[in-house]
Amino acid sequence: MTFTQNRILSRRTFLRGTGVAIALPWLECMSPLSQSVANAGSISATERPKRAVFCMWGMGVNGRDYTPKTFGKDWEVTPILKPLEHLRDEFTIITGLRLTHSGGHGGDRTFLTGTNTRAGGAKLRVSCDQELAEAIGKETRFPSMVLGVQRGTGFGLTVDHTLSWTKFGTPLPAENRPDVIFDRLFRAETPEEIAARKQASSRRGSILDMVDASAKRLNAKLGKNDQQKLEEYFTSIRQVEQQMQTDLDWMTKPRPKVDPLNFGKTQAIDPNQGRGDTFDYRNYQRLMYDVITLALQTDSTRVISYMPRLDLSDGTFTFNSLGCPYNYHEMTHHGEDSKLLEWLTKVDTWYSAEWAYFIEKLKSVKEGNETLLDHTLLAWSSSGGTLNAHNNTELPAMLFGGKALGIKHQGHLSQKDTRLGNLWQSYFQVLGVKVPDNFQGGEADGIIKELV
Amino acid sequence: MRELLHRVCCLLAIALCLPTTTGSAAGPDFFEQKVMPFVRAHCHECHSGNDPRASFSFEGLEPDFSQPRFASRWAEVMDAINLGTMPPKDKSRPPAAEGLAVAEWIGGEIRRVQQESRMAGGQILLRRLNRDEYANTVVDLLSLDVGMTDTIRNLLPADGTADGFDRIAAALYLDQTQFESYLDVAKFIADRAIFEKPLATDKLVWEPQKWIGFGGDKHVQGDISKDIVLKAGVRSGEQRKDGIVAWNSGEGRPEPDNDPEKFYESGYGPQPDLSRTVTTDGYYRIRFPAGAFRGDRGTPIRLKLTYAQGSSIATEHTIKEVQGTIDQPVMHEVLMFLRAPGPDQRVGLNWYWNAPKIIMTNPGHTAAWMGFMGAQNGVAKGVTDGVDEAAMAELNEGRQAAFQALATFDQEVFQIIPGKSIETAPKIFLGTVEIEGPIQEWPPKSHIALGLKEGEAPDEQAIRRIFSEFIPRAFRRPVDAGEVEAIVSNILSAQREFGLSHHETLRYGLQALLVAPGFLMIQEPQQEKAARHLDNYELANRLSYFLWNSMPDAELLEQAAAGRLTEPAIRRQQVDRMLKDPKIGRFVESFAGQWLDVRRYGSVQPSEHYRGRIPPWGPRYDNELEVASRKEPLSFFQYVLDHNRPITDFIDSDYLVINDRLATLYQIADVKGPEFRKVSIPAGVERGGVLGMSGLLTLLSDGNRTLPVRRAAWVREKLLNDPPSPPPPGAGEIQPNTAGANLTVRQRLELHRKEPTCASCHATLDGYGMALENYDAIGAWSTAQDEQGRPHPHGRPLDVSGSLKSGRTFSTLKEYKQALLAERDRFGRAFVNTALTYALTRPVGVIDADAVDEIYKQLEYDEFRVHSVIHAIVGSRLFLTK
Repeated sequence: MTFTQNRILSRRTFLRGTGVAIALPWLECMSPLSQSVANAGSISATERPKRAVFCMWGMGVNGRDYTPKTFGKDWEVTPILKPLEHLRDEFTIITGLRLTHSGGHGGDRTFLTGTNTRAGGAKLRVSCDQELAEAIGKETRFPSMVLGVQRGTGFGLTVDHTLSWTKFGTPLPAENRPDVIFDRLFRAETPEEIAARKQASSRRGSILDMVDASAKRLNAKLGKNDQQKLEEYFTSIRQVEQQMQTDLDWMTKPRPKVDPLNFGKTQAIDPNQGRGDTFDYRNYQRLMYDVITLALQTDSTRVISYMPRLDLSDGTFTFNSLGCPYNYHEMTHHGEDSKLLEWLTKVDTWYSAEWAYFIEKLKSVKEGNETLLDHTLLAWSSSGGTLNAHNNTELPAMLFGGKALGIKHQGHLSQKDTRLGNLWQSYFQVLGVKVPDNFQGGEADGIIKELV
Repeated sequence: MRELLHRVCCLLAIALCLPTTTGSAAGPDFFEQKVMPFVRAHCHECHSGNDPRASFSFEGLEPDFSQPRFASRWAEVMDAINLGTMPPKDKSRPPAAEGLAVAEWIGGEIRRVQQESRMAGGQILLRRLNRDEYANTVVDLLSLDVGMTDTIRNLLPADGTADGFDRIAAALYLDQTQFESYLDVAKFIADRAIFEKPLATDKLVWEPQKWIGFGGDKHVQGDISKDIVLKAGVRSGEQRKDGIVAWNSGEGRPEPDNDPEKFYESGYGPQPDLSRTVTTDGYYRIRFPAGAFRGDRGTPIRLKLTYAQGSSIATEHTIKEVQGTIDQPVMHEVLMFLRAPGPDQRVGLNWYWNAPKIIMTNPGHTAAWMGFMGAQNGVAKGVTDGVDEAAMAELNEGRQAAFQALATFDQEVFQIIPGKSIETAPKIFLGTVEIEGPIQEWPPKSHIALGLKEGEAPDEQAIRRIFSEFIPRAFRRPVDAGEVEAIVSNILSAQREFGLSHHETLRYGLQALLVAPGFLMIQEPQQEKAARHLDNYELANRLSYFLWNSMPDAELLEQAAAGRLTEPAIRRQQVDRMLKDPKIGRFVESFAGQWLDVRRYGSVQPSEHYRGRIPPWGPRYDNELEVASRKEPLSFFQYVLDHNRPITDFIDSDYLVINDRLATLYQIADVKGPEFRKVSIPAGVERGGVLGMSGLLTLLSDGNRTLPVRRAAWVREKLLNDPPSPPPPGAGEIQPNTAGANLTVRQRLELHRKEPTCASCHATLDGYGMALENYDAIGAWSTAQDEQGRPHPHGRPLDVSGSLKSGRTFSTLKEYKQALLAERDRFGRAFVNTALTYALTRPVGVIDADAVDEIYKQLEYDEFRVHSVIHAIVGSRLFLTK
């Protein structure tokens, strides 16, 4: 077999012709929303997108000072929930959810997948944010955003850095720098950059042709087991090609225009580079919430997974700059030491205060007669229990927003022994997306009816 | 695997079948003789029939763990036994030992089947290179600087691990993310391997005397409401017209430490900023005049240059002895491989020397300062506590008095340590520093590796020649003409289509080859079901990826071309040669790094308690210790390998391989300097083998307390290949001491064992970790603990006695290690298993029992010497076939 220019072209033309090119109905048609934040409030009721945000805070929370003692809308406020008290109508505290396959440490992997664990040979499957992105992500520049406090996947390390897994059961790398995320979302490319990217894309296509042919030669010589392994290679090529095509389609669409954020010294807001004495956690966390808000507001994406705290260490120097002498993990192993417990509550309360900032921010963005918060489902939860950070039962969980999507907030709701997967299944119901087959690997058996 | 399970008989009304697989860990009879009667006696009554209790029935439950629907139900049975929830309290309870045996059988079967699912029936699968192998192969193939290895490695996503290693085919996935990274990294490499012309260089000139100062006559006391100006006294160096002279470390260390192997910074001021000079990874030439004076210490003056200190691209270079004198300096030149910083990363060059300490702070000043701080804190506390006005006034007066005492201190703040003098102190001179680069050889080594020829016409013919020669090297095997032609014509048509220049075409081709399956995959095509012998090139690859984590070198490929690698004697020679090559260090890092979990060291951060500790509370944990503790197991392993020591050294040895920092922790005197070297263990010091290594012991703690159960599980898994079953869900932790109860860790564990939930597993487990309790949460030796389970000089004495699974008892750490050595066959077989897993890149299961046995016999015959494991593996049928 030889390669000719014709073949290269015809193969790529074929790709383009077979509907790999993704239609961009929502953005393409009209919405001024995608162009400018200033216009965001002017969209009509029929145009507003439904969004989903999944957050996991590793290692749980100090349940004694988190879980309200009473249920219902008038739940009795606790120290950790104090900063959220004024937002009472915007969220539901769900108590009693559980994971089956792991939790405490290691539950990061199970959190959105239902069954993924670190056990040797564990079969790894897709996370529900990616299933959602597959259904509704085609409409936005970024089908989903995968964020975390540490960059990359962390795969092979002690803890994951990401909550998101592809349908092939491989982890998707998380991004942790607010300035980089902002750049990806909003920086307009120059015509030269676009031309260069187009050229790079064509070259890449040509390389893929070469290696695809090369792999086919190899495949012909292999036995069945090896062929199965090589199938991953072919699938990867196809996926990269599809991604290239999607990128090309979006390349020429103008990016939303937003006011720049003040990132200050970028080294100081990169958790991978920052140091305990220079890293201002609060500033960092707020910038992350700011860019997430902008991403949702401009409809750059509708699905976000975010791991703001890892499952073994907090991932940054968090509140050391505010005087906390311990790291988060150490505090969860408090051994009933009152000093550690006291600090754990203090730090948990700080985290709540930052979260309140985020929710207020979402609430301040008007969308029609409602707000961005009303059109967004946000889960704040953990893979570690409230009774003991190492349990996989009694997970702390709160669902925020979504009132315009039909969510009826219940204050403090008991869901003893309900699977966490049911919360995710509720997302699908609310967003009007068909629940995928083998959802959560069987770790979901319905929705949380009280909320919907 | 399922075909191996052939079922024989049905028993009772319960359709339980007996597998006569060779697989069952406990032997085929176990199910029939132990499990069946147990189920019949204790479970069947309720869990059968039309309406089984809790909808759980043993009917139709087969002991076929390869079927998830059966395995998951068996797992429920195991958890119920372990948790003690079944049989229910009102029924007759089986003896604990019987239940334990059944639970263990289930756990073992589950593990076995999981493992087999990754074995592809024992075949070594096609797999991609992992990221270490990828980076090493690229560096070797293109003769890039080894400094590039980490850069390339870090551009690739981390690999999955299975069975303890990151080279198991079943866990090395390939998907879009991975593939995109390959495309990006290949472009990155091509850009750094092929150049039109030598890179432009940049030069920075830095005059230290303009930046580095040694304080003036005045000492300004800051950090208080109003600066106080005092007499400074002796300075620690001086600025000259052409440079600086330093004679004292700028560190505020109080002790007159004169260790000539410790490095310190001298003077105060900014270091040269290289952020805009180092724009490409490459060699940079650093030139400066320097001179030295050994002084009364008499040892060489050393100088260490540190680039990008504390960052991921940090690198350093040490000049072992500075030449010239203070008044007649000579030019020094250093070539360093520097990696370019990220877009907003600032990098500099710091200089350190083995500076002495000859100046101290006047004790009178220290006392005045401490007095003031004390009074200051007193006032602050008074405000917080809300003391009354009179008390407050008194506190304020106290502060005023202390301030006065400090402000009117009229002596010099810094003075010479008695017995020292500036004249006789060791000194260093440093003149104008020039930093220039990137320095590039021309033609670069990568051009030679790629076969580029200076002066060759840059035409199609050259491209054709270059790639025809290079493709077989990149693919590490002969490549047939058709395949070469297909690749070359793609390259040439890309050149036409995209209008690429000659060099751009070469880069395009290289990028493509580095993502081609021929480069990316370790392939041994095999269509037949029966195993076949590997050919010479496949052997060369297996050997080199086993021992070097990289492609075969020229000699291996020559031996392969001559068809000699199929000869056992030649193979043996080659293995011996490979063991002596420095590239064996990659094997040590990869194999020992994963077997001993070194790669995870540092993930448990000891608490403040250990960071601020001083004797008699124990030695301190710091970053230097963390770095050293990561090197220790690798240096030890390297030593065992270099000297062909018996593998029993990993259990216990009469020597360590350590540096000064670890010697301090281990309380071994007279180990100077940061280099690792063999040190005999002095009498009275309890170390030896891997179980006394600080890094491991820290990893197996929670940063505050020791975790004896985790340590036990580690020993059982990593050293004995006999991992305990994971705790059932919700088993919880050993409860910490709550108020009132003041129990030792041992007592708490005993309580834990009394709970039926925990008894079954912990009875045979805890001893393996309790034996290590003398090592605290950072691996320092202690003999007594406080109620928190932390070392305490006045705590209760530790009892570390226990027993192994076999029943062999011990009462001290020493006896524990003796007991492990008395059962050395268990460790030996486990080690063979681990090494074989690594070599074969697949799990080793029961079907390999004979092979493991054979390798173990050779190991035993050869007095457990480590090389015999490697030779025996390389000589085994498993390694030589596909």
